Amino acid sequence: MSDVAVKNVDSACETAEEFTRVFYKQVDNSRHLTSKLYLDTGLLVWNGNGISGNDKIQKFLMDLPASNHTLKSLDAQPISDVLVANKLTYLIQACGDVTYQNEETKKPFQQTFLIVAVDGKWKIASDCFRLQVPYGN
Amino acid sequence: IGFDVAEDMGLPPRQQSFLVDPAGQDLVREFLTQYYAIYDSESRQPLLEAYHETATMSMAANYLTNDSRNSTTTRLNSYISNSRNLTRITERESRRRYLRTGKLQVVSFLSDLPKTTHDLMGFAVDLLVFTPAMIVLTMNGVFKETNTPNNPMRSFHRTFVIVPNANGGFSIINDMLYITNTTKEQEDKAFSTGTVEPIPPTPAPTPTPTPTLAAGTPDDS
Repeated sequence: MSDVAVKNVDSACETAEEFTRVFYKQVDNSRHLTSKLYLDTGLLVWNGNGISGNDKIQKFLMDLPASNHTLKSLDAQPISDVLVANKLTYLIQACGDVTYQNEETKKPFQQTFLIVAVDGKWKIASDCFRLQVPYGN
Repeated sequence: IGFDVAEDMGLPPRQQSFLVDPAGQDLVREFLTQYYAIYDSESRQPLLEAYHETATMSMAANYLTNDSRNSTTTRLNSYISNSRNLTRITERESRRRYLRTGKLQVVSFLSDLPKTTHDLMGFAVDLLVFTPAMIVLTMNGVFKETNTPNNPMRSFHRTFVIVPNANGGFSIINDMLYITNTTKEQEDKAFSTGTVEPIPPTPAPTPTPTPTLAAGTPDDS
């Protein structure tokens, strides 16, 4: 890998750490502000339910019970910039446990984000959240 | 048909799949069927044709929280030793090393993972991006290790970024895999159907040409 590519790998990892710190803090403690983290045209796929557009995502998130996420595993890779109109884009995978209000059990979850740099801010282009449960019919 | 009320009260009901564009359904089903037919076979070497020349791949593995089972079958040693979990791997140098780059490194890494059979009917598949330039899809599901004593089951979450290649086929350019233990509930329901096809077959609104995973020559850079 070139020096630039190596630096981009380092940056993807460090951005993923910072991003997930901010994201889960918002979702757990300041839910009403969370949609600011998404692109206006962002996509949230929550356990297979697709919600597109920043306003609808905000409404969907507000209807979820209060949560507490614990991050246990994190991974990140840069996406080739030729694929995404030369915008810096990272793929981030965050896994851990979530506890919802009025439930005692910790549920394992896995979540994958595509984040893109727009005007000096990181924005979520897509967010795919899955609880670790059986999905067959 | 039952009611999804036994648990997750207050949470929206879950769906097995989401397609950002229904036109992508056949392509995704075909791609995953072909990919896992090779992945679950004796040799993963033919996957070289599924990856882009500059592909990157990483894997992270972790145990479930409060899992009291501690037997040889629940140990994830064959994954944990190569896990790129950034909450534990903090040195830049190690983070770079655990990222496999180039299709040779990627397939060599995949070839060293335990042999598997995936429950394709039980896959949750989310198609997040479907444009002429790029496809992003995420899978959740369960597989069995076939050459390990007692054939333990594992749960995984995986994302592919896929790009069209010069031969009219498609290549994986990013592959990110997470492996953990299955829950009791997952084990009870896994492999409950005989068919092996991801995404239940429902008619897609528009037919799309069937792509092939391995279109063209092995070296399509």
